[in-house]
Amino acid sequence: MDKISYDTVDEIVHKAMLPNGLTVYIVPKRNYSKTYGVFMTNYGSIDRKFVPIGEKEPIVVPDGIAHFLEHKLFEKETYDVFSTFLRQGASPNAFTSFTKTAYLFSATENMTENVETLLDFVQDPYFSDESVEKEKGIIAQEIKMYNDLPDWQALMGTIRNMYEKHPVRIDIAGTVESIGEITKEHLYTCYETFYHPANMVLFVVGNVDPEQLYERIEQNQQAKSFPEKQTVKRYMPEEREKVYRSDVTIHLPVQVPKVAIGIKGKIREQHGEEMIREECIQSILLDYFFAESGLYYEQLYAEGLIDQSFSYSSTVEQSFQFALLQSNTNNVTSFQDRMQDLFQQISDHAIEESLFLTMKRKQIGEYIRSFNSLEFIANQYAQYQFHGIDLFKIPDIIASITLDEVEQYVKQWITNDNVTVCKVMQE
Amino acid sequence: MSTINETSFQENNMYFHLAPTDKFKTTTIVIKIKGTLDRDTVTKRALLSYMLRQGTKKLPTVKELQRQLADLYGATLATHCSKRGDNHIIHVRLEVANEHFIPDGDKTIEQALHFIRDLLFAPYLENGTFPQAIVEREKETLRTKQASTIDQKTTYANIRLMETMCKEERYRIRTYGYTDDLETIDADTLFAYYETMLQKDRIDVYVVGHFVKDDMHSLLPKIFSRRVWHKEESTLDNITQRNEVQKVLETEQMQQAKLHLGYRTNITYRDKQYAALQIFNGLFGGFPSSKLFMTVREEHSLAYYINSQIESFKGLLIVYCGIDGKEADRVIDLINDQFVALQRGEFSEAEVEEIKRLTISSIYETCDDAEGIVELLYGRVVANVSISLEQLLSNIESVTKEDIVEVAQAVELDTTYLLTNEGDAQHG
Repeated sequence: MDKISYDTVDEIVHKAMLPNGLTVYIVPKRNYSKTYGVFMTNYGSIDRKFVPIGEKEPIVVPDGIAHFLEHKLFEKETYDVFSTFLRQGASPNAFTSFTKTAYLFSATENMTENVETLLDFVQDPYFSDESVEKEKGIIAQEIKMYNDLPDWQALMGTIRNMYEKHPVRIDIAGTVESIGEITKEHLYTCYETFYHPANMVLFVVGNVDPEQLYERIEQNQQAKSFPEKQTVKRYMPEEREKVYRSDVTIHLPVQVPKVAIGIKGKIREQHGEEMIREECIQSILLDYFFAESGLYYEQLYAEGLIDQSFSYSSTVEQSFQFALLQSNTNNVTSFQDRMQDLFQQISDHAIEESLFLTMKRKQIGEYIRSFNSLEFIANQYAQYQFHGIDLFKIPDIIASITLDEVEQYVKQWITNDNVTVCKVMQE
Repeated sequence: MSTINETSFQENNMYFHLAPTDKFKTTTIVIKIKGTLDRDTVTKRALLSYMLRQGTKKLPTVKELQRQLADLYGATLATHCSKRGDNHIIHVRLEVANEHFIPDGDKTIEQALHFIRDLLFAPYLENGTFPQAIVEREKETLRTKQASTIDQKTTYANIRLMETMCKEERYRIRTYGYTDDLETIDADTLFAYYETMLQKDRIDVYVVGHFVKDDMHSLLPKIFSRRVWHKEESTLDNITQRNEVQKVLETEQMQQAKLHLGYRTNITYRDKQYAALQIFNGLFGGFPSSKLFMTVREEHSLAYYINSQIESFKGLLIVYCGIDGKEADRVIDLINDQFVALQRGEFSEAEVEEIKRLTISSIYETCDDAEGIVELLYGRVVANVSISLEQLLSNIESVTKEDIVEVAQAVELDTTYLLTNEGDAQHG
């Protein structure tokens, strides 16, 4: 395995690629009790139109299928995945996002066995008509749970406002109707297309010996056969730069209204450092204006327009990117007006150098703090490496961002037609 | 496998706890302020948890305070309240990057200790009291927080279960207090209570992270001190005896119903049966291999989530799940069946061993997180016992099947609470 050392953040990563195309990362953490392993595919809810492996024509699959597949991979003909992990002292789990599906465990013993179980259960699909039908009831409950979560509704409402055609506007779990259409044949098609080792990564961090563990992973993979690797052809619709709708109200029986504001970013088809650089610049700007230590927070808070629930985030993916600001507020209209005023000032704002430097330090420190969490390291490193981004280099990248760059960025960040508002309130 | 290397001592009318470790890239400082859970003071305490992050004599505004934290490489400050048994606890937490990540960072931790000390003991005052405008603004924030509780259905259902189940007990009291009280609170009454709190409450300071133990041991009492501590003896609360299970049904506009079941375990952290209770909970609903998950979700597809959890200081066990409201009676029957099966000892030794290992493993995992370490250590303070973590783990090791059956037979269902959509309201 190759060994990569990162001096700034005091981390070491062991990396190798197997003949079948699977990339393996191992990060030893000898003073932790725990080991966390994640097996991730570059496949999420937005991948609904693609050419299935071995075929020529694209197909469109029912919404929510990536998530449905995540649930069903736990089903086996001859054994129970949960029981196997638990017998080995591990807690398994899984998640599906817009762009990724991940299977994971954490354990304090039997690390090698647990890594093998993780590989084996994901690489051995078993779907039956009966079990597919049975899962629909469970996922329907999951969908209904999300429908009752006002924060989630505000987030999805904002995304639907920003994107007219891009499938990021579709709920990750789909709808009760769309999952009703899913068959075991759909599941096999998606599985064969997106779960090839070359489209996946295994990341293990914790109390492990890298060389020893890697040897077992190698043996495990050599014993299985996979088709030749192929690049999956995926289709994303053309999306305009401006937002689809600038304003929407969702009626839910909430006591306190919620408002979310989205700033839709330009799609640049970028990779690697460029992509993460943009996310970091956007994060610095969000902090600069909206952190408690930033320019505008104090005023917004004193005026009663936001409260402690106020939060913001920056999302940069290959085919969509946006900033999101969200708060509970009792003054929906004033909040919206005030934010519009502030947004108009932002483009012409001359960035203060000392505050910019403060926010850079804040961002660097937040990354360093996140590296306490093995889950964060594994999930983020694995996700980012699909895009040629190295998680442990991000603090250095942030340090290299210049005032000039941020000044250029802020000028074109917010325009007349890339901002949208979503309100969640009672009828 | 490493657990925690803790040193505790009492000085200057406060308690200090050191857990040096090289695991983390940050050092975490936590102050815990523990008072009695009381209907008359709870709202003031909740409001104080907000006031303690508003400013200090040196840094009078939130902006100045937060800017210093940002300059300390994104140090984070958080305050919140919780209830543990009959105690109401205010938590203040500051996390700061280790010195070697910060250029010229050799005094960072000391700076951070002074900073958090000032938050608690030297808040920003005007004319000897909290600034009225800030108090009014924070009252508004608290009012919104209280009002929005109902928008988080799981949290709300849990609060309502406790209010109905423990109607005559302290534990019914809401952690973040009551909107009606806010009218009667102003800067002066709040400040007066703040001074009382600083005299009466037990205060514990935890430092977890990268430091030299002896240096920290001598440093802490130089920074933290209070003149008096009028310790109050806590009184045991009466527990409501019920002859039959109480059934509560409430309705809201919602898609997924919340079914919460409250049990009395009659066992707390102090009791020798506590380890067996942990294993009972693990078998019943604490893990994805537990009876509840395997039956209600995997076998019958009736829920996406179903769990059980123990409240270690009050002696309660709560089962909670999200279901179709029309299926509530069926789900309750399934939960009861599983409960009775455990009482009858219908589980294998192998299952017991598995759950023991998972329980021990989850304690080790908690030790991989600085806040987890603080919570583990503070549990002993709240329970007022001096049991070591190693002892706790070995107690779990030695639990037998008979111990679990004995515990299961002592656990009693007290109240079933269903929050459902109006159309689906039928709860036998």
